Amino acid sequence: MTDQLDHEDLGDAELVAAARGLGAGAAERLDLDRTARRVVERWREERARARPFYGRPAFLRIAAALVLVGAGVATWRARAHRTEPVAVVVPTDAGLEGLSAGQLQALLPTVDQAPGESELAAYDGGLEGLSPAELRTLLVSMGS
Amino acid sequence: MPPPQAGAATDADLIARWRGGDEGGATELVTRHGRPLARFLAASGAPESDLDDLVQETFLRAFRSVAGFRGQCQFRTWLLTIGGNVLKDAGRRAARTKVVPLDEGLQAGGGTPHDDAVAAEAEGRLTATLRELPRLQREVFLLRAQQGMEYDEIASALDTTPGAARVHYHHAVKRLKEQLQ
Repeated sequence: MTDQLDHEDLGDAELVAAARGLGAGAAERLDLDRTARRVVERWREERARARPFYGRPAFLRIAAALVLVGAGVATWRARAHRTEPVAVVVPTDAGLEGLSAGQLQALLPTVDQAPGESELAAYDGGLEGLSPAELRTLLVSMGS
Repeated sequence: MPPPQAGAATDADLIARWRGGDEGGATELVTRHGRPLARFLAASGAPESDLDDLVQETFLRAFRSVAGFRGQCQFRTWLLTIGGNVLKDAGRRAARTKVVPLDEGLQAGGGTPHDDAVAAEAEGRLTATLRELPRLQREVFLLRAQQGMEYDEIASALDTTPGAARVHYHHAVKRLKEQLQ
């Protein structure tokens, strides 16, 4: 390449030689290792700035913390508001006469509910064994 | 321009390594092409005090657009043309801020003070004359005379024809000789 250039541009040899020397001193004085390090650092910084906000580590850390806090709050609220099922014990064999007003009110919603299949299956044994209160409950529920 | 030594990674390998996330590829590219680029920039009129920044900026600009580099010419040729654009932009900024660069001739060299002064004067005159050339002539001249590139290669990098590149070179030589005599 160099020979070819020198031959072809023989008349310009002096100029070509001078051009080859141009900037040689300045280029030699350049600390290339430092330059390469700076290029890589600047490239890294540039890429970090160009990344969308939701891809940045700080945003991901905040998002993860918010998810944890949210999950904690949801769990706490679920536990705090959990209601134990209330069991209403109705003394059926004693009839309705002996019940207080409060007990009768508690009984009413259960009377409104139609018996399920499992409950109807319990009546397979016939009506003989039922107490008057049970018979009354059954009649009311059948009528509704 | 010396080709990579046998067994050494090619520029294409280094670019692929760097694009694959290996920063060592970028470091190797800077180490391999940084000095020729600095010589090109200095010869094109870059003040030595700005040389490091200009070399960095040229590599960063090249890395940003490396996806568009299709191997139409060698990486170094492509890099030098980017360097020319970076220098032009820096020149525009400097003109706006009216920063006067330190005279290259006043900076320390490696020989005796007299030799340094003579060399710096000759270099300064040539650099000043080069700076007066149209950009295309200057770049063709430097790519050919300083970097030793073929006309085909220069033409690909500068988006012109080899014949036109040859004409630019000879115009540049003619004008330089006239100015330096």
